[in-house]
Formats: sequence, structure tokens, C-alpha cells
Amino acid sequence: MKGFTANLRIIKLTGMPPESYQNLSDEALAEMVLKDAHALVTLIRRYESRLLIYIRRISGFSYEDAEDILQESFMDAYRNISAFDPSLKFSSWIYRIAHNRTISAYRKKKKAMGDVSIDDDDEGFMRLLAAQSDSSNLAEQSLTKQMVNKILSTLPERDRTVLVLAYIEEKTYDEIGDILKAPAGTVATWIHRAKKKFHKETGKTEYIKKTI
Amino acid sequence: MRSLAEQFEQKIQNGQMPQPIPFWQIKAKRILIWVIFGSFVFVGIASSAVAVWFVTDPQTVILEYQKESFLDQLLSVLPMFWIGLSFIMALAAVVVFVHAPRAYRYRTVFVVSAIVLAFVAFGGAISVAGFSEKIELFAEMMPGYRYVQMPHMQRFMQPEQGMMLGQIKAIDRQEIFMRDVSGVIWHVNISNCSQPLDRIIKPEGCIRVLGVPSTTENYFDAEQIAPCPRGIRPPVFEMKVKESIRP
Repeated sequence: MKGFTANLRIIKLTGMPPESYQNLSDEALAEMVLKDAHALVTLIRRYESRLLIYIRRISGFSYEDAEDILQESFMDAYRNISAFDPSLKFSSWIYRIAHNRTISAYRKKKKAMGDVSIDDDDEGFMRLLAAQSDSSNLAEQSLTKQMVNKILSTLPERDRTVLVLAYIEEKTYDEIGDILKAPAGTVATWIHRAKKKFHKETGKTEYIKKTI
Repeated sequence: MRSLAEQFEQKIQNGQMPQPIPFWQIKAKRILIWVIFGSFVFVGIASSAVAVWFVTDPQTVILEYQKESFLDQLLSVLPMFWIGLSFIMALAAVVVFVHAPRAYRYRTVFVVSAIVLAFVAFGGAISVAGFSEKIELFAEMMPGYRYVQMPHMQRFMQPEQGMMLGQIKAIDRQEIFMRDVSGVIWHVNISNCSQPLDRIIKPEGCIRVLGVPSTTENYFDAEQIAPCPRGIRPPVFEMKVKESIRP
């Protein structure tokens, strides 16, 4: 009965039943949040798992810590929803909020990135490996996902972030720029430098493996 | 364990969600940023216009009467106050601009270059249009501004070097009576000036005299007479006179 009354209230406010929110774009939903907070729930459903993985990848936080950060991020997004610029992608905006929250928490904890075991998206790691080696010797590439994580953890904060965003999250330069608040040209430079460092670290890891 | 979406849904149902920041507040903040940015740009362009007006003054560099090199003279006549003000305004405008939404999409080098270019271009245009003097006159209302012009004025008031500045008090055929910045009345012989002086010599007018000091005290033989350099006006003299008679 409570749910029915809530649905009626939403229809009265927005002129549409909450089920039809599923068909709306992220940007349209973000604009609707001011009228009806339930629109936020649809957005959270769409981004919850992706952002949770992203937070863990760039910080190495435990699942619980990452979830706390994500909760605070969504709360920030809700409080500042009026500041959302509809000409931007909602995904870039929410990634920026989550990123800033994560970095701030990461700096507070000064915690080194641990071994994050994330079961999905092996393709992301393969893309990252392919980016630093040519496809011919990719088959010979014996780096495991765990090792990629280890190499990522040795990289500086910004290098790790841009590599995760570019190759694992598959964001464009413009999107990465919107998330990290930097011009697309600068993002390209950061990625280039990060790839070089990653390549260097990969070489070291390979050498250690062979010696062992 | 409940998902985040479910937790938020529960909070919304229970009315535990905080109020979002109102749209008008965000809008007001953005407008404020642009207004502050616009003000800095406006003042910066006005300062640049005055700086350009001073720099392009043909009366400022007089090589034959000063022992300094061209570069030294050029550096000493640069309107540092106005150049400094333009620089501060450009810096402030950049700092404000980076806080504007989506400003991060532009490289700092690009923003700085665009602002400097705008200052020079619009400042130059205002100077050519003849508004720089009005801006400079307006600036005279600022307390302490006149002191900025003092070194510039003193640079041209060196009778032993053959340079003087003053206000015409009386004209008598081949001689004019000119009061200098210290309030001293000089007899300036203009018979050796070959240039037409009708447009320059006017009662109460401000003139710059180049020539040789006579052996007689407070007498000066003029070779060239020109209007005072830009920014030097009789009220500045008055101030200097008042200062010089102070006990």
C-alpha cells in the first residue's frame, strides 16, 4: 500500500510511472531528480556496480570501504544535482564525483593498493596489455590479471587512474578530461606517459618471472 | 545484504534524504564568477588602453637631450603602474576563469594568451579611439594616483640637462613666463624656435621646453617647445608647489 501511494505521488509529480524511468537517458533522469528523488534510484542501479569496481581499481580499498565511498558519492551527487550540466555526459559527472571522493579517502588513509581480485572484465586487462605491447607478441604475454594489478599498484596515482579509465573503463579522452577536469590534450599526454611507465614495469616483472 | 539502490530507496521513502542545493544558488554562484571575471577583464582592458596611450606618446623619448641609451629611456618612461595593473587584472581573470564550469577544457597557456591578446587588442583599440585620456583623467580621482606621475614629471624637469616642464603664465612676443613644478617663474626666450608655436603656446597651457639654460638665473633659451607628455597636467604642478612650500 505504501509503495502504491509513493508511485501515485511520483506520477502526480512527474506525469509518468516510476517503471518508465528505465527508458529515460541518464541525463534526462538527472534532470528529473529535482522533481522526484526516485529517479536517483534508477541512476544508482545503472552505475552502482561499475563505480564500485572503478573505486576498487584505483584505490585498492576493500569492498566495504568502496561501498561507503560510493554511498557518499551518490549522496554528493544528489545534493549537487542542480550543478549537473546537461551538456556533459552524466557518466562523466558521476565518475568525477566518485573519483574525487576516492582520491580524498585514499590520501587520508595513505593506503597502498592491495591485490584486488575483481572477477569480471578480463577484457579490460587485455586491452591495457595490448596497449603496451604489439599484437604479435601478445600471445606470448604471460602476465596475469593479478600481475597487472600489481604493476598498476606501483604506478603513481594519476598514471593508474588514466590507464584504468582509458583501457579498462574504455572512456574517451574527452570523457577522461571531464572526469579529471583536464583538457583532452593533457589527458593524451598523461596516458602516453603512464603507458611508458607501465611498459617499463611490465619489463621488470617479466624479467623477475624468467629469473625465478 | 541490500544494494545501494535499495538503501537509497528506503531513505527516500522514509524522508531521510537531505535537500539538494537549490538551482538558484548554483546559478547565482556561476553568474557571480562571470561578473567578477568580466570586471577584471574590463579593468584590465582599460589599464592596457592607458598603458598603450602612454607608450605611444611621441614626447616621451628625447634622445638628443638625455644621456641615457634608447633602451634606458624606453624603460624609464614605461607606465609601470598601468602595466602592473593590467598584469594583476590578467592574473586575477585567469584565476577566476579556472573556477568557471568547463573551464578545465582549455589549457592554462591558451587562457593566459587569450586574455593577454584581448587586453592588448581591445586596449589598443580604445587608445586609438581616444578614450585612454578620459580613463586616465578618471583615475586621477583615486587617492595617491598623482604620486604615480611624479617620477615621470621629474624626469623632464632637469634645466641643467636642457629640459623643463611648466605652465604658461604670460606671453610677451619672444618671451614666455613659465612656472615650473617648484613654483619658480622662468623667462623662456622663444626667438630661437624655428617651429610654428601658435598651436602650442596658450595661456595656462602645459609645455615641455628643450634648449639651454641661460647664464642669467631663471632664464632659459628654448630650441624646441612641445606640449607636455601625456598624463602631466597643471593640477600635478599645483600639488608639487604645495609640497615645496610646506615648512
